[in-house]
Amino acid sequence: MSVSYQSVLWNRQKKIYDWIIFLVVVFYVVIYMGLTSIVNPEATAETSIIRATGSLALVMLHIILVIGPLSRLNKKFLMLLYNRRHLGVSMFLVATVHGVFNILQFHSGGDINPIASVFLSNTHYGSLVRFPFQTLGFFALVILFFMAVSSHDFWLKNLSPRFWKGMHMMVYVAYAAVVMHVMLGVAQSDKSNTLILLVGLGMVMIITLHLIAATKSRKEENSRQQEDGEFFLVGSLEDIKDDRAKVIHAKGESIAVFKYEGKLSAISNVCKHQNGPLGEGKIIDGCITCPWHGYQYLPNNGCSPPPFTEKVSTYSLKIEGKKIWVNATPHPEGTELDPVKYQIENE
Amino acid sequence: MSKGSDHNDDFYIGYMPKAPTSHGGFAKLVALTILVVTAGVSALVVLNQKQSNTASFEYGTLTEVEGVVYKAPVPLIRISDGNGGHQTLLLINFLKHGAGPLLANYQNRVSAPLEKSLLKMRGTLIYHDGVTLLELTEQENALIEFTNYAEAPDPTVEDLGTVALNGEIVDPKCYFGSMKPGDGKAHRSCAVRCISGGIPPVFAIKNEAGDAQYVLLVGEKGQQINKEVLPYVGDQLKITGRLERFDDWLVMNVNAAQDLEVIARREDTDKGVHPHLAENIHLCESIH
Repeated sequence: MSVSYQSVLWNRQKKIYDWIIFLVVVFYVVIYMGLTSIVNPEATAETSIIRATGSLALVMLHIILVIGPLSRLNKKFLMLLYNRRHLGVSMFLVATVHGVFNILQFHSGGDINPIASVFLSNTHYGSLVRFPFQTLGFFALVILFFMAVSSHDFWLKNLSPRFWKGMHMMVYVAYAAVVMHVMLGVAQSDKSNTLILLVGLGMVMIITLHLIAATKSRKEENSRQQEDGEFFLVGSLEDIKDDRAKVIHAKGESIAVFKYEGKLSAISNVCKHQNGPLGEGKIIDGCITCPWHGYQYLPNNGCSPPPFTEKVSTYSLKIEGKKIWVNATPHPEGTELDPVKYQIENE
Repeated sequence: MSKGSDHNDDFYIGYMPKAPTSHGGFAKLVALTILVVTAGVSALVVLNQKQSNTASFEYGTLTEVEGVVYKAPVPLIRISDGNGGHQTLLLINFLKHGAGPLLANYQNRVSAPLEKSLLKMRGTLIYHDGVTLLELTEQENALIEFTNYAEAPDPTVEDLGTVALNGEIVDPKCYFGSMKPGDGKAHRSCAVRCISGGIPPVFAIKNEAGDAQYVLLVGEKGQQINKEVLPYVGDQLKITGRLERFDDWLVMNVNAAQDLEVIARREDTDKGVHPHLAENIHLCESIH
């Protein structure tokens, strides 16, 4: 938490993450170029670079898009999620190499501006098979550019988390454009249909994982027992580890119910800093600590400890036997509520 | 506030320097999986890519040639082949431009008509499938020497009659070596730029055995029709026109508004549908 914007520096974890990305990029390009020089020695270096970076960017985009649902299905993938922006920016850089080489190779040195050439060289916009597929790649690259330059915490803070998140959901539009870029472009000259198969497989994987994750969330929400329209069943005491939380979604609210020191408290699951998932955090030194950047809140009132000023909503809880119930109507941000105490029965 | 490293058990916190031990092994497994999958995809894409041909672009190597230049029907230079015969090279400018304007400038420097001058020029050779081009890479400086050559022989021109051919319009600079691939949908835009920039359009015709003939396309009166053919670049066409042999080259005079008929999209031919090719077999035989 902070009284003003403060960036999170590159720590050891982020450096390891970035090194792995770098290694994957180098590994992919070396394998691609090396193997090409053996099996297709007449290919030019520019063509190999264009093909290697294009296919690599697509592979990276697939990894980026499956991290979200994988994290919802298994929390261990969260470490990929929390630094996903690094992967996104790296993918944009690889895609940029692909785009720049294409524009230099196919569109520059002619009688019109190279960027204009992307849109004007092939004007069969009314035909599906003759469609100027380069324009789709260009469009996707523009989206990825805005996402990459706004990937820093500075923009998340200043554009507001809601706007920032909405803007970054454009990655799905970019993905659709890239798929069509491949299908209406190089895949049409691919007699082996390998690209069509790979892109199709990738699409099936992304859609399936998203559907499984969404079904899981919906199932949890639908199975939530409701009592008199206000209280929703969170689960049993044993469901929550000490100093940790269980997250439930009810009535449009995302609520984190924490168990600590023989007590229970519920606050909003959404961190005020960057919409981080507080329910995936932990109570450290008596404060709920966001896993993204370490912003902290007191469990009983949802306020950051002084001198910090962030506040989140709190929710009423009740316990019946071992069952925990939460009222999904939020109290105003920072409302003090007495934690619900529970007795541990003698096992 | 405390950074809480002693509370780190299995709590993954992005801002902390070290991930929990339980996450380390999982992270290694994920990283290894990603490496293996990406390597596999890389190999799969390479092993199934379309093979490049043996066309050559001697990038970085300049070659001197000496001969007589023809400005029409397209810029050509006729040089000795060293065996008492001759070879006619198609001249093109640097990047995606035709050599026409350059030859006009050369004409201003040479006192006699270019066709009656012996020109020593330097450029980058591009060659494939029996066809050779010279890129005047140094542009104005590509013309090294010139002398009057009043007794220069006229080009050999032979009328081959009106024919109908099936094939694809390509830009010769890329097709014969500057780029690989120099045809197909991925290259269509580049071919449009080259032809729009003044590089003469070439009609590539093939029979089912893969034998190819290349025909320069000009208008009915020998004028450039580069702009007119742009919408047809990369498609499978049937072109009807008067064919002639101009030295080593076949030249077809066509009315771009009437004589070009799209018979299949390039995408169809890429997938193996190659219509009406049999007609070209006889043509290839008769031309040889």
